Amino acid sequence: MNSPVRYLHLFFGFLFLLSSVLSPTLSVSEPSFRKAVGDYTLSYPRDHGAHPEYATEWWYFTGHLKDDSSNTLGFQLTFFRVGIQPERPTGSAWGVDSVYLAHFAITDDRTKSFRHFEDQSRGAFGEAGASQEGLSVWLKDWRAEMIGGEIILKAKSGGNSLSLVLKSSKPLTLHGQSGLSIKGERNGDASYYSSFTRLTGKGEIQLAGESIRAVSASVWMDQEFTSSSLSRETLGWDWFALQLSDGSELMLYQLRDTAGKPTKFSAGTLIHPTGETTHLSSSDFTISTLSSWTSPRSGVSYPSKWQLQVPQYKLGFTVTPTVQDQELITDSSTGVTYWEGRAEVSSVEGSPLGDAYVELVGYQRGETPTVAKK
Amino acid sequence: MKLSTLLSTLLRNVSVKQLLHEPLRTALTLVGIALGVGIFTSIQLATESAFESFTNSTALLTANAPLSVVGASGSVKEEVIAPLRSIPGVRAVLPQSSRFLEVTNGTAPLGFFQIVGIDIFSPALREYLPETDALPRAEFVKLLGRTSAALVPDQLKDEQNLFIAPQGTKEEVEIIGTLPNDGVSQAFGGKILIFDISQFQRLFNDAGRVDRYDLLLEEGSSPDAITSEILKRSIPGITVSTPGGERAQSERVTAAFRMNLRFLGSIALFAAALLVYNTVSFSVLLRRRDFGILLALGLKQSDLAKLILLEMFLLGVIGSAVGLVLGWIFSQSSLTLVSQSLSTLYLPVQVSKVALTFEILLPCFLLGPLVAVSASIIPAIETASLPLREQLSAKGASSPSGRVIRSLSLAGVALLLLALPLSHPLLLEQHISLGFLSSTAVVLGVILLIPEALLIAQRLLAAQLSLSFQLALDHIAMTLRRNSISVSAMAVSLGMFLGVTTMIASFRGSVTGWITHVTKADIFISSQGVNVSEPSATLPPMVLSFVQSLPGVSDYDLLVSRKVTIDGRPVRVNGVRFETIIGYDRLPIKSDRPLAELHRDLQSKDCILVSEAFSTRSKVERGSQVTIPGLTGGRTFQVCDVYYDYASDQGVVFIPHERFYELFGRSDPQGVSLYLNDGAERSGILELLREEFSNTSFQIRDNVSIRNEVLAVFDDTFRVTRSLQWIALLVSGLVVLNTISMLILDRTREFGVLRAIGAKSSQIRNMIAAEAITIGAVSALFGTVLGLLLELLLVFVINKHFFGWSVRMTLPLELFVTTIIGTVSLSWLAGVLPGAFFAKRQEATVLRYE
Repeated sequence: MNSPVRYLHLFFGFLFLLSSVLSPTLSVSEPSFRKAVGDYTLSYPRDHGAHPEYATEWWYFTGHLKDDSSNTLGFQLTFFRVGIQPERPTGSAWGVDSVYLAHFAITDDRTKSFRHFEDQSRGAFGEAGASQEGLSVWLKDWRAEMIGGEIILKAKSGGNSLSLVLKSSKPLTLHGQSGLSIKGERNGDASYYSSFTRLTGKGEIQLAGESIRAVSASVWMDQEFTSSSLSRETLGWDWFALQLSDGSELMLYQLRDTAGKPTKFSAGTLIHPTGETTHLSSSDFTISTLSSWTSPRSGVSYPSKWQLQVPQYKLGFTVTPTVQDQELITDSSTGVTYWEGRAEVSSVEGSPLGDAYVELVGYQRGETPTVAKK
Repeated sequence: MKLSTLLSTLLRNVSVKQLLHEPLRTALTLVGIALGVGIFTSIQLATESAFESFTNSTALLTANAPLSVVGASGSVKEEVIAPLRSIPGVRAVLPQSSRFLEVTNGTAPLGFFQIVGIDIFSPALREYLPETDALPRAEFVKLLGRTSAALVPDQLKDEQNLFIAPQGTKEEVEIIGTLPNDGVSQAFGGKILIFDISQFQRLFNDAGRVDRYDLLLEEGSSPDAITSEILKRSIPGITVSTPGGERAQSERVTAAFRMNLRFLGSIALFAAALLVYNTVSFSVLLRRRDFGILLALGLKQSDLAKLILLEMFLLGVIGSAVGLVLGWIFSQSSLTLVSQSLSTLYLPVQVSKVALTFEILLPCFLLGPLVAVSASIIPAIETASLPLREQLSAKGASSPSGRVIRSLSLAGVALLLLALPLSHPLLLEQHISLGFLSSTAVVLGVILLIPEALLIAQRLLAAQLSLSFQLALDHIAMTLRRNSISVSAMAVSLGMFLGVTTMIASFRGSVTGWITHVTKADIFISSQGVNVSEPSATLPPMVLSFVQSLPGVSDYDLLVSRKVTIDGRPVRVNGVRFETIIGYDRLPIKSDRPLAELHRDLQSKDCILVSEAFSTRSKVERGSQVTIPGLTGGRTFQVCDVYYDYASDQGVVFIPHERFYELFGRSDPQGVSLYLNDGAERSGILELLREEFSNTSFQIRDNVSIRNEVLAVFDDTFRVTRSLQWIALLVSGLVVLNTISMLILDRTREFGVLRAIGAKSSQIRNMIAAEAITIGAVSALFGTVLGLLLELLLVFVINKHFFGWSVRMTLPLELFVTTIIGTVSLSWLAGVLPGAFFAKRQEATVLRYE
């Protein structure tokens, strides 16, 4: 690809997700927030911190864990900051500039179980917040912070806990044009986006009723901030983040329109083992659904196995969820029902090639996954 | 034949036919029962519905919080949330603050609303306030960021504009979502607005504190363990409460009012029961001849007694059923009255629906058959055991023996004497319900003296009066039991009417004197409040600067006010300038000491003035120590003196401004009182003020209108009592009409015989009138005595002890005279009209009547 324009799944993903929850606020407050138009110069590590002048921001961690007995697990820990107004109002310590929401999920491949938790806070009296100096975001006792060159993740809920110390084995990826990721036709339909695609390290995990286990981890982190929202024509999206055993990573997302067809804003990024990145446009890849799964709790049908093809680079993968039910029903925070889970990556022939995290959003609106004919 | 079959056959073929054959008599019996049951039911329904709503409305807002952290100073410093959150087992800490404020739609006031501030973004909100579950999530976020954005009751959703004035100036409320018409909305009668806590603090300029924190706990956490954990942390200025504890406090606060209503309701019940008793026993006596015929036909005496009881039971059931319907109808207006009184005395409570519960209705329903059966037991046994000849003569030996009458009189005297120790303050402190017992003893005591009094009247007066009166008095003496009951019923209802009326008059007199004393300032500017003494909003600083620049103002005083909890009871602490209070002699001080001496004390010591109600409740007098809780702990003051106050039965404490600010922090005043120079034109200054603050909701009044308003509040408070007063009057009238009508029906045959043997119709008419007047006069006499005794109890025992108010007793003689004349006249009318009817009827017709 000539242009390294990169689209980020989470920008679309959770912006859509949050905008569906908070859009009236955003639409009212939007004019007073700064737009992502490329007039901001990113500078790290400061810009790992919060940007309250922009309406929406998130720090998103998904990862693959392995314990000493080679049991594999997956986790998701996400912090969202939603701006209510750019400045904190005076006159009350309860006054809100931003609210914080967070999701925490664990997938246990051995027991084929999935658990997820959610929380939200207005941030009053330090209950939640995000530093503007560098990566430090927290909601009660869920926390992600960078100390020195290390990123520390902590979360616990319902007897489950996770604690990891991570270090990036690859440089920070700035997506789009020097970090500005254009995502639509209107001025400001963009975001500032960066990610660590392979954070590795160690830590501990405890599942409710079980003992603490030491684990090694390979984690993907995204951070994005914007003041824009998705168009109403977008129904949902499928997102894939593959960490391959050859040291490369592949991220693809497919935006679906109201007819369930991929839109031209679907895109991807190939991160080479050296850290170099290549943008993939919607015409560079195909995503085929091989089977589907219907949630017994929400009744929503999701695609559940895929074949990804990037012909230009002769890449072909089969992505299979390790546990079918990795659905999050987030009635107590974002209010959105979506699927986000750990998957295994194999060649089309079946040889294992790595791990992936997949996110499927928008299926609760009644869309039926189209399963490719064999 | 089986007894049940026999009774059912007799009931069907004899009783029902007889009852239908005498529709007037049956109707009178049923009306008596139905009215008695109806009155009692309406009072019960209204009282229970209003109190349930009062107690539950606040609790509903915290329905799922097992623990709450509150401040004895009325609020807690908001930063205590940090240590509370850190306690293991605490899942969520939810702030809540509330005020009462008038809401308008721009053109008309919509009433006082509970304005509530909560953390609208708490993840626990939906379990804390389940009503919010149905609201779109996106709308919630608007409540965080938009000024004056609120959730409003569903019924207000179509209002184009809603305004509140928390700091005097109008703020438009933006409707973000609606609350369904149940839960909290219903509990507050649709008068609640919910804001985010940040908007609430901004609206009321109340940063830094919240009224309370409600705690939600982790599953398996013990509230007791968490409580002790909180206490271990020694957080200043807080106490931990439970829903049960809060309910108990709410009940304690309203205990006096509740007891007062119960007391008045019980007297109404007593009068109603007497009405039922009177009606039923008359009915049995009037049917004596029918029952004699049944005995003549071979019915056993015991079966006859059972038949009578069954018949009365059925009449009781029918009467009760009608009574419940009447009670429900009456209760709609009673409810409004009880709610108004509760709102005026305590907190606004909005109840529009009478709660028809089985627990309330069952005892009311049972009242009819129970009283009907008990009223007919003695007449039934007596009727069944009388010789056949007497049965058929339709006349019974209705007069108890002299020994019985003397015993009753002695018992009456004993009960009256017993009432004295029962109403002693020392005993009442231990058991507040003894006041109720002492009133019951007085009522019963007076009633038991009635037979003796009737006999004495007959003995003393018979010889002095005309033949008609002699015959009437003889007849009264012969039928002493039934007449005693009638006179008792009339006396009790009259006594209640007089007692309550005179108590209100005494109370009003005392309040009038007090309000003149405390409103010595010329002009009062106050923020909005539920009533004159309960400001709920503040005045912005511009008011003070304008007032200072006004010509003609010689002095002014600021009122800062806050509700705190002392000894588990809410007490209002008013910050004032003592120089002004004493200088203008604004408080009626209880002690007689010179004001200059009091002023010296107030200046030299850390002194406070307390209201009489506070002094009574907290058992403090001049020289006692009182600790007033502040935001960061309490401060102990010495009581310099006690002053008379009728503004609150919970108590008021006056402290100097500087101490107030030390305890609660600086705040804008809720009221300003202005003293004008001699010769200053009050109306001109009032006009200036009203013009300057025309766009605000400030209440600007002179002392005359404030006095009128206080008296209007007083009248509102006593609307329930007044309604009981009129119920009593209604019962009296009905008892008179019922008694006299029955009396004539009973003597129809006798009048026929008298006419047959040559008595003139005028003689019969006079005889009836004489008997009616005698019964009316004795009833009025006893009613007056009872009324006086009840007034003494209400003024010196019930009010003093339950509300802590000293009331100066007045005796409106004209009321007593009017009541006596009215009762005798009504009795005469009740006798003379049917008397004339009977007197005119041909003797044969009258004889055939039987």
